Amino acid sequence: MAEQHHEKLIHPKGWGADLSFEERPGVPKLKAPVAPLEGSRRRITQQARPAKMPTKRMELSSMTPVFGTAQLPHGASGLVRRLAYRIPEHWASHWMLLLGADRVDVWGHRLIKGARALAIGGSIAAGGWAIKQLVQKGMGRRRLLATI
Amino acid sequence: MRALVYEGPYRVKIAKKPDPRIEHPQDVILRITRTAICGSDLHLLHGFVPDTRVGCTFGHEFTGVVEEIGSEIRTLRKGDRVVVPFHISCGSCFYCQRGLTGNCENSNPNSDIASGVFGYSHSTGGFDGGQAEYVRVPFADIGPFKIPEDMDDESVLFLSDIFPTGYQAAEMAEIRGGDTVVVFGAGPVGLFAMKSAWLMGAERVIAVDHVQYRLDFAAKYAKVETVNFKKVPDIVRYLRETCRDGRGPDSCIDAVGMEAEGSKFHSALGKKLLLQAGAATAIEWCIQVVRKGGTISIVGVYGPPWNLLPIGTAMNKGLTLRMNQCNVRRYMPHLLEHIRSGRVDAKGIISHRLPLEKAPDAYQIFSDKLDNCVKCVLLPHEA
Repeated sequence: MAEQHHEKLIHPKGWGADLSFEERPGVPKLKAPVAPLEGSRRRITQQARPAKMPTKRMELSSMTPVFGTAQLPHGASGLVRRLAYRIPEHWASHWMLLLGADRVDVWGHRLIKGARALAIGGSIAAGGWAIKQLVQKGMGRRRLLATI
Repeated sequence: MRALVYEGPYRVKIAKKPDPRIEHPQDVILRITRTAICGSDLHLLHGFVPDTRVGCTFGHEFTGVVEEIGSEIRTLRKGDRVVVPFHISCGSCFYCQRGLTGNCENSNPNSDIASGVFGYSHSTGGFDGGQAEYVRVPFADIGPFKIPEDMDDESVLFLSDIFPTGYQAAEMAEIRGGDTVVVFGAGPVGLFAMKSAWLMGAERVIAVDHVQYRLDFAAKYAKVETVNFKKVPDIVRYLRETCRDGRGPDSCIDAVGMEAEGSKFHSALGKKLLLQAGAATAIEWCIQVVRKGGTISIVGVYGPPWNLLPIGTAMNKGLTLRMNQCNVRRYMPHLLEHIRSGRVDAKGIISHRLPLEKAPDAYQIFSDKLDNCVKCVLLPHEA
């Protein structure tokens, strides 16, 4: 079957493949690094400390000159993440804890979202029930007054 | 601002977030004009990348206009149009000075194995990404590349990642004149690896995938031979028999990464049970297929901590394995000339353009390979 399939293959002429090797635009390749890069500095200013510090790996004594400040660790998942970053990254447990923290984060987020939806739904239902009670009470009082 | 927000595996939505601000004197704030969804964003979406936090904004392929600049910025001005490499590099550290800007040691406090990357979990520094209206770009004198006035944003958008990554993949494959190169994966990076393999002197380029429309597109776009591995009984045997008189190809490129199809064993262990970091099927096939003394180039993304690989086979066959995240900045000027001269029609791979509001739909289209999708581009400021 493999041979049959191979017979059906077409051998298209690719762009540049019909030029001689020396004339191909990709040759010579970019083997040598382009250095120094324009705009590079000898001394890099340290990014200011935010009020709440992001995570960092345990091998570093201080933060890198720049770092991300998005989604700082919080709640139960944050505790697991901070624990994970106390373990060297060449240990599998470091990564397993981080994957575990991700799942805790997602479930925590879903629980909070669900609780919010329940609270909103519950307050609407309670409000409706209260209005119904008030209306019924009002109607009962009118009926009582009418009988008198 | 409006931004894509991660809510857990397979769930993203568009939500309001605070605007990014200058946090370091070498930062700029960009107003995003074009932003693409990368195949590696799907690994985040599917929950394979450790420390992907709820609320994270993905996106590491983008172009934009400089809106605000930090006090130490020398090379950019407000209003400059730029395309930004996916990784964040200082330009000064041990690695950047050696051209390895994809391995910068000054931008990620969370891990030594990766530099800072936009929107790619906290394992790569915890920076929000570009699938938003605005983004913070650190070390903006080093990474962002000014877009020439005669070129539109879409033409150069893929200089941010997939074109240089495909090019570096071909470069690492050490192609010599007359070589046969097999590229596993006919996605966007694979397509650019195929184009680059021709540029570097390959005699035969063969694309391997199981998604037929992608193979058809590769045949048309990159003029390569194609093999659907689901239509041959044994892909390893097939490729060996059909290359170099039964020896196998000279080089193989893995442009697939951790969510490969084709091996129930790897898929069960890596994608269902998470006992290895995704399915290493493509690397295994590379090792088995390539001829003795051949070269394997890996640009597919794999997560920590490990994968099951036939390393004994690689050793006995005398293979060279080369791999890295792409050092994008190094290739940008060179590849811009390939685009400008018309040798590579980079924006020709865009199949879908959608407003930012439709980003969750775009993820579904791209992830499920619907509607013959090759590449999705989001337009954050257009309704």
